[in-house]
Amino acid sequence: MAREFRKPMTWLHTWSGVIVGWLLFAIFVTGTSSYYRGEITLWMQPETHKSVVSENTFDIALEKALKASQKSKNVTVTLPNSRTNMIAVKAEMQNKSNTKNGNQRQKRKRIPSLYYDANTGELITPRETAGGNFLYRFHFELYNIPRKVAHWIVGIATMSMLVAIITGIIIHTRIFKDIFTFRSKDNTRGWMDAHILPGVATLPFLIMITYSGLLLLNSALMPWGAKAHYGDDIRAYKQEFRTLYTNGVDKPSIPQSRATKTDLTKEQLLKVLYHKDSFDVKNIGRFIITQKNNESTTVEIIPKEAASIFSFKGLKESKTFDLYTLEQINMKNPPLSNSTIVNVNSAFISLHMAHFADSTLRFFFFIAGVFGIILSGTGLVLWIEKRKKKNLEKKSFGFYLVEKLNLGTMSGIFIAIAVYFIANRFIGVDELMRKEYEINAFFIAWLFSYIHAFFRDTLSAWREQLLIAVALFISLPLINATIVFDSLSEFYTRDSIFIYFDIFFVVMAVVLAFIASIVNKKIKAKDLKKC
Amino acid sequence: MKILRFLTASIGGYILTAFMSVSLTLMFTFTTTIESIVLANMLSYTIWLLFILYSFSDVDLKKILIQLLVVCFILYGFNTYFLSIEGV
Repeated sequence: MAREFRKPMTWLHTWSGVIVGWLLFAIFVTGTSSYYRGEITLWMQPETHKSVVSENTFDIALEKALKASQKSKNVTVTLPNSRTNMIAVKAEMQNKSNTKNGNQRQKRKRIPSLYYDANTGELITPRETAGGNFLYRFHFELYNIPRKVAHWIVGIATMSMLVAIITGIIIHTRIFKDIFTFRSKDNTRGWMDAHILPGVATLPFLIMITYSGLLLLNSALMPWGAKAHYGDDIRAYKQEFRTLYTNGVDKPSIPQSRATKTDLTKEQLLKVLYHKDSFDVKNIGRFIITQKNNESTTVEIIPKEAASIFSFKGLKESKTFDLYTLEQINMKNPPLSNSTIVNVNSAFISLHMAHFADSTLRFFFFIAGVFGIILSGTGLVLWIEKRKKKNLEKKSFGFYLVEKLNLGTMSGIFIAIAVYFIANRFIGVDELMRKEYEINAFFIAWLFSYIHAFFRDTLSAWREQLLIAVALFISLPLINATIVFDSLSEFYTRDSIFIYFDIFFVVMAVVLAFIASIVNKKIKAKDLKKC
Repeated sequence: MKILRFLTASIGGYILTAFMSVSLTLMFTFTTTIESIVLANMLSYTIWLLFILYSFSDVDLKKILIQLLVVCFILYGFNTYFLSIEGV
């Protein structure tokens, strides 16, 4: 009975993986890189690289906050942390505008953040770049496709992934043993181990990331429950959801009359930031100064490290103080909702995005993502390996197509990412459409690797493309050093974020060179056989 | 035959899941409708997944199709009746 059930499940596992395998591979690569979305954007803005945290940083941040508060009633100051090396100041303006029926309403005009050097306080004007946001958006919205259509395409691929994972578990009889089994032989068994090992080792992560991915695409994939109750008024549904999500915590806990208006001074601000009930000063990641008209001035303090799995987006833990009385008037400590279901849902979303994770945990998520990339990549190669003998006897178009698409996708996306980074350094800083040019460079490079794959013998094309990728990745730290550094000493004095990037590029080059050497051996063995 | 199973699992499964997610929002008795919708959405992918696995099991395809039609018809009736009572 069990064997009878496993047979169709094997078929389902194979095909649910292969049909969307290339898209899944690209989603995994871009999605995994999104764990460092902010860092990628920083790297792609070399103007920011010279900013280094110093003893002056906190003072500079205070001065910038006070200066911005003179013009704006709502100022957010983000201090440097493990993910950014600059001080960011965002001053929101509130404009009154007339609506169609003549009523005045408050309209928030968003002003982009201003960035300051964490050591000198100089204003930094970073270049325009698609940065990490492009890779992040690509992994769930693809590119230049209507959002709903893209969500559906990615949703179908994600559902297929979930099916592949579950059927993968069903067809495996010895999951625990497989974690410790890797036979590094160049045959089907070896590829199977290379496919199973990352799958089994990161199984909980894979289930979580796939299932939470589906939940994130809910509004496109499964809107029927909300539609049945709210009709086409999805905005009302979202509004109610948001209310339940934050469950009245935002209400001020002291009567408005007690709040007192005061002048915003550095001394007063320091008293709040060093308040005994506040977070440790070294752990202050962000503070928001809100001046309410003729009422009060409050300072909301948000820590650098989120302590709760329910913390994500705007729902981080925080403490709010009245600037004059120094009383704590509000405290957010996620989960903000008292609904278990909403909290479970938000925990899944939080897990997917890893907003709550510190740098160590984020690195583990990244490694788990890399395992996901290996899993989908080896799955696609395994499909080819299993059918090689059969294809030698009778040529198949399906085999040819999968072989070429495997090459174009797997090798191509790494070439495309390297070209995307290099293009960032070579496109003129003042170029108006530099974002678009960067993205174009990414897709053109990817397209060329597909074209090359279809016009060349597969193994040779693998070797050539891998060597190109090696050359591109190894050239990245050199190009960066030549273009960005004024002197060699900057290599050591810059923020560690950028040193990690150089290390990553070198590691990528070494890994790809290792794969290229395996392919090279295969080619030599093939040539020997022919002789 | 595999293509028919694939269509049944994907499209048929989706339709079944859509009906089921609405039915679940009506069946759950939480304090707010939002909670019912969120939980129904969370469960719907599991239902779809289970149906896909069932469609590819060794059960006769005709039997699966008939079961799918009957269940969808019942769920449609259930949803229409209870949504009309709720006045939606």
